[in-house]
Amino acid sequence: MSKLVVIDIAHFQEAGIKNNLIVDFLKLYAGELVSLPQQFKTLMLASDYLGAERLLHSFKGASEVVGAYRVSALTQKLEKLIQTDDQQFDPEVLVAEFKQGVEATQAGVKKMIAALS
Amino acid sequence: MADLNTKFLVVDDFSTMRRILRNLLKNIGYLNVDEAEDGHSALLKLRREDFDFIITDWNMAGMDGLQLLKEVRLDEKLAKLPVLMVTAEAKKENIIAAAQAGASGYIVKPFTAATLDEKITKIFEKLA
Repeated sequence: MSKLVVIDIAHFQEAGIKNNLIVDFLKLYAGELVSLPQQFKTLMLASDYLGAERLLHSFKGASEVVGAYRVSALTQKLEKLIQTDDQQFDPEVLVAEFKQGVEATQAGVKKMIAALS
Repeated sequence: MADLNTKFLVVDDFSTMRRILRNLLKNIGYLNVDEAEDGHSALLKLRREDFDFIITDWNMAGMDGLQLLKEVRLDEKLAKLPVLMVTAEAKKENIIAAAQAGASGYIVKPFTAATLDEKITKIFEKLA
Protein backbone atom coordinates (compact mmCIF):
# COMPACT_ATOMS: atom_id res chain seq x y z
CA MET A 1 0.00 0.00 0.00
CA SER A 2 1.35 3.41 -0.97
CA LYS A 3 2.33 5.75 1.84
CA LEU A 4 0.89 8.68 -0.10
CA VAL A 5 -2.27 10.15 1.36
CA VAL A 6 -5.53 9.35 -0.43
CA ILE A 7 -6.52 12.99 -0.59
CA ASP A 8 -4.74 16.11 0.56
CA ILE A 9 -6.42 19.50 0.32
CA ALA A 10 -3.65 21.54 1.96
CA HIS A 11 -2.73 23.21 -1.36
CA PHE A 12 -6.29 24.51 -1.73
CA GLN A 13 -6.38 25.80 1.84
CA GLU A 14 -2.95 27.44 1.47
CA ALA A 15 -4.27 29.22 -1.64
CA GLY A 16 -7.13 30.61 0.46
CA ILE A 17 -9.84 28.53 -1.21
CA LYS A 18 -12.82 28.19 1.09
CA ASN A 19 -14.08 24.80 2.28
CA ASN A 20 -17.39 25.04 0.44
CA LEU A 21 -15.53 25.47 -2.84
CA ILE A 22 -13.15 22.61 -2.01
CA VAL A 23 -16.21 20.44 -1.31
CA ASP A 24 -17.60 21.51 -4.67
CA PHE A 25 -14.36 20.40 -6.41
CA LEU A 26 -14.33 17.11 -4.50
CA LYS A 27 -17.97 16.34 -5.31
CA LEU A 28 -17.30 16.95 -8.98
CA TYR A 29 -14.21 14.77 -8.84
CA ALA A 30 -16.13 12.03 -6.99
CA GLY A 31 -18.77 12.14 -9.71
CA GLU A 32 -16.10 11.60 -12.36
CA LEU A 33 -14.62 8.65 -10.46
CA VAL A 34 -17.83 6.62 -10.79
CA SER A 35 -17.53 5.70 -14.46
CA LEU A 36 -13.73 5.52 -14.71
CA PRO A 37 -13.14 1.85 -13.79
CA GLN A 38 -15.70 0.72 -16.39
CA GLN A 39 -14.27 3.05 -19.02
CA PHE A 40 -10.77 1.72 -18.31
CA LYS A 41 -11.98 -1.89 -18.36
CA THR A 42 -13.74 -1.44 -21.70
CA LEU A 43 -10.64 0.08 -23.30
CA MET A 44 -8.25 -2.50 -21.85
CA LEU A 45 -10.35 -5.51 -22.76
CA ALA A 46 -10.72 -4.15 -26.28
CA SER A 47 -6.90 -3.83 -26.38
CA ASP A 48 -7.32 -0.09 -26.99
CA TYR A 49 -4.17 0.69 -25.03
CA LEU A 50 -3.77 4.12 -26.57
CA GLY A 51 -7.27 5.03 -25.38
CA ALA A 52 -6.58 3.54 -21.95
CA GLU A 53 -3.31 5.46 -21.67
CA ARG A 54 -5.07 8.67 -22.67
CA LEU A 55 -7.78 8.12 -20.06
CA LEU A 56 -5.19 7.43 -17.35
CA HIS A 57 -3.14 10.45 -18.36
CA SER A 58 -6.11 12.82 -18.11
CA PHE A 59 -7.20 11.28 -14.84
CA LYS A 60 -3.67 11.55 -13.42
CA GLY A 61 -3.60 15.28 -14.11
CA ALA A 62 -7.01 15.92 -12.58
CA SER A 63 -6.09 13.81 -9.53
CA GLU A 64 -2.86 15.75 -9.00
CA VAL A 65 -4.74 19.02 -9.13
CA VAL A 66 -7.37 17.80 -6.67
CA GLY A 67 -4.71 16.39 -4.33
CA ALA A 68 -5.59 12.71 -4.81
CA TYR A 69 -1.93 11.76 -4.76
CA ARG A 70 -2.22 8.03 -4.10
CA VAL A 71 -4.43 7.29 -7.08
CA SER A 72 -2.37 9.68 -9.17
CA ALA A 73 0.77 7.62 -8.37
CA LEU A 74 -1.10 4.40 -9.16
CA THR A 75 -2.32 5.88 -12.43
CA GLN A 76 1.19 6.91 -13.39
CA LYS A 77 2.43 3.37 -12.68
CA LEU A 78 -0.32 1.83 -14.84
CA GLU A 79 0.25 4.38 -17.59
CA LYS A 80 3.95 3.46 -17.74
CA LEU A 81 3.14 -0.27 -17.83
CA ILE A 82 0.77 0.22 -20.76
CA GLN A 83 3.29 2.41 -22.57
CA THR A 84 5.97 -0.32 -22.67
CA ASP A 85 6.62 -1.78 -26.11
CA ASP A 86 6.51 -5.44 -25.04
CA GLN A 87 3.15 -4.96 -23.24
CA GLN A 88 3.89 -7.79 -20.82
CA PHE A 89 0.91 -7.18 -18.57
CA ASP A 90 -2.35 -8.86 -17.81
CA PRO A 91 -5.15 -6.40 -18.67
CA GLU A 92 -7.46 -8.00 -16.07
CA VAL A 93 -4.88 -7.40 -13.31
CA LEU A 94 -4.46 -3.76 -14.29
CA VAL A 95 -8.23 -3.29 -14.47
CA ALA A 96 -8.63 -4.79 -10.98
CA GLU A 97 -5.80 -2.67 -9.55
CA PHE A 98 -7.25 0.50 -11.04
CA LYS A 99 -10.73 -0.31 -9.75
CA GLN A 100 -9.35 -0.89 -6.26
CA GLY A 101 -7.42 2.39 -6.37
CA VAL A 102 -10.44 4.34 -7.56
CA GLU A 103 -12.65 2.77 -4.87
CA ALA A 104 -10.15 3.70 -2.14
CA THR A 105 -10.11 7.24 -3.52
CA GLN A 106 -13.91 7.40 -3.54
CA ALA A 107 -13.91 6.41 0.15
CA GLY A 108 -11.22 9.00 0.96
CA VAL A 109 -13.01 11.76 -0.93
CA LYS A 110 -16.29 10.90 0.80
CA LYS A 111 -14.61 11.15 4.22
CA MET A 112 -12.97 14.44 3.29
CA ILE A 113 -16.27 15.90 2.09
CA ALA A 114 -17.90 14.85 5.36
CA ALA A 115 -15.07 16.42 7.37
CA LEU A 116 -15.33 19.71 5.48
CA SER A 117 -19.11 19.95 5.40
CA MET B 1 -2.47 43.21 -14.94
CA ALA B 2 -4.20 42.44 -18.21
CA ASP B 3 -7.79 43.41 -18.98
CA LEU B 4 -10.04 41.66 -16.47
CA ASN B 5 -12.81 41.54 -19.06
CA THR B 6 -10.70 39.10 -21.10
CA LYS B 7 -12.96 36.28 -22.23
CA PHE B 8 -11.42 32.85 -21.62
CA LEU B 9 -12.31 29.50 -23.10
CA VAL B 10 -11.24 26.64 -20.84
CA VAL B 11 -10.99 23.30 -22.64
CA ASP B 12 -10.65 20.07 -20.68
CA ASP B 13 -12.40 16.69 -20.77
CA PHE B 14 -12.52 16.48 -16.96
CA SER B 15 -15.23 18.69 -15.51
CA THR B 16 -13.29 18.90 -12.23
CA MET B 17 -10.36 20.48 -14.06
CA ARG B 18 -12.64 22.93 -15.87
CA ARG B 19 -14.25 23.95 -12.57
CA ILE B 20 -10.89 24.35 -10.85
CA LEU B 21 -9.48 26.39 -13.72
CA ARG B 22 -12.57 28.58 -13.76
CA ASN B 23 -12.16 29.22 -10.03
CA LEU B 24 -8.43 29.86 -10.26
CA LEU B 25 -9.19 32.44 -12.97
CA LYS B 26 -11.88 33.92 -10.74
CA ASN B 27 -9.33 34.16 -7.90
CA ILE B 28 -7.01 36.08 -10.21
CA GLY B 29 -9.88 38.39 -11.17
CA TYR B 30 -11.04 36.99 -14.49
CA LEU B 31 -14.77 36.35 -14.37
CA ASN B 32 -15.56 36.00 -18.05
CA VAL B 33 -14.94 32.28 -18.56
CA ASP B 34 -16.64 29.70 -20.74
CA GLU B 35 -15.90 25.98 -21.01
CA ALA B 36 -15.65 23.25 -23.62
CA GLU B 37 -15.08 19.56 -23.05
CA ASP B 38 -12.91 18.77 -26.06
CA GLY B 39 -11.27 20.27 -29.10
CA HIS B 40 -14.27 19.83 -31.38
CA SER B 41 -16.73 21.62 -29.11
CA ALA B 42 -14.09 24.27 -28.41
CA LEU B 43 -13.69 24.99 -32.12
CA LEU B 44 -17.46 25.28 -32.53
CA LYS B 45 -17.62 27.82 -29.70
CA LEU B 46 -14.59 29.71 -30.98
CA ARG B 47 -16.16 30.05 -34.42
CA ARG B 48 -19.54 31.10 -33.01
CA GLU B 49 -18.48 33.53 -30.27
CA ASP B 50 -15.65 35.94 -29.58
CA PHE B 51 -12.96 34.80 -27.15
CA ASP B 52 -9.72 36.49 -26.15
CA PHE B 53 -7.77 33.62 -24.62
CA ILE B 54 -7.79 29.81 -24.79
CA ILE B 55 -6.58 27.55 -21.99
CA THR B 56 -6.59 23.97 -23.19
CA ASP B 57 -5.67 20.59 -21.82
CA TRP B 58 -3.32 18.63 -24.06
CA ASN B 59 -4.63 15.11 -23.64
CA MET B 60 -8.29 14.76 -24.59
CA ALA B 61 -10.30 12.15 -26.47
CA GLY B 62 -11.59 13.24 -29.87
CA MET B 63 -9.63 16.34 -30.79
CA ASP B 64 -6.73 16.85 -28.39
CA GLY B 65 -5.22 20.15 -27.33
CA LEU B 66 -2.39 20.07 -29.86
CA GLN B 67 -4.79 19.46 -32.73
CA LEU B 68 -7.03 22.24 -31.44
CA LEU B 69 -4.03 24.55 -31.34
CA LYS B 70 -3.15 23.66 -34.95
CA GLU B 71 -6.75 24.24 -36.09
CA VAL B 72 -6.80 27.61 -34.33
CA ARG B 73 -3.55 28.69 -35.98
CA LEU B 74 -4.92 27.66 -39.40
CA ASP B 75 -8.13 29.64 -38.97
CA GLU B 76 -7.77 33.19 -40.21
CA LYS B 77 -10.22 34.57 -37.65
CA LEU B 78 -8.72 32.71 -34.69
CA ALA B 79 -5.05 32.48 -35.64
CA LYS B 80 -3.83 35.26 -33.34
CA LEU B 81 -5.62 34.07 -30.20
CA PRO B 82 -3.30 33.32 -27.28
CA VAL B 83 -3.33 29.60 -26.42
CA LEU B 84 -2.02 28.32 -23.09
CA MET B 85 -1.47 24.55 -23.10
CA VAL B 86 -2.05 22.58 -19.90
CA THR B 87 -0.52 19.16 -19.43
CA ALA B 88 0.17 16.58 -16.74
CA GLU B 89 3.80 16.10 -17.78
CA ALA B 90 6.66 18.38 -18.77
CA LYS B 91 8.09 16.17 -21.53
CA LYS B 92 10.68 17.99 -23.63
CA GLU B 93 9.23 16.64 -26.88
CA ASN B 94 5.77 17.89 -25.91
CA ILE B 95 7.07 21.36 -25.10
CA ILE B 96 8.85 21.46 -28.47
CA ALA B 97 5.74 20.19 -30.31
CA ALA B 98 3.58 22.80 -28.60
CA ALA B 99 6.03 25.60 -29.41
CA GLN B 100 6.28 24.47 -33.04
CA ALA B 101 2.49 24.41 -33.33
CA GLY B 102 2.32 27.97 -32.04
CA ALA B 103 1.42 27.63 -28.35
CA SER B 104 1.69 30.91 -26.47
CA GLY B 105 2.59 29.15 -23.21
CA TYR B 106 2.76 25.84 -21.43
CA ILE B 107 1.78 24.96 -17.86
CA VAL B 108 2.19 21.66 -16.00
CA LYS B 109 -0.38 20.21 -13.57
CA PRO B 110 -0.64 20.65 -10.67
CA PHE B 111 -0.34 24.43 -10.64
CA THR B 112 -1.45 27.28 -8.43
CA ALA B 113 -3.39 30.44 -9.17
CA ALA B 114 -0.10 32.34 -8.86
CA THR B 115 1.58 30.21 -11.55
CA LEU B 116 -1.43 30.52 -13.82
CA ASP B 117 -1.49 34.29 -13.30
CA GLU B 118 2.22 34.52 -14.07
CA LYS B 119 1.82 32.53 -17.31
CA ILE B 120 -1.17 34.59 -18.47
CA THR B 121 0.58 37.87 -17.62
CA LYS B 122 3.70 36.80 -19.56
CA ILE B 123 1.59 35.94 -22.59
CA PHE B 124 -0.14 39.32 -22.48
CA GLU B 125 3.24 41.06 -22.10
CA LYS B 126 4.51 39.29 -25.22
CA LEU B 127 1.40 40.37 -27.13
CA ALA B 128 1.65 44.00 -26.05
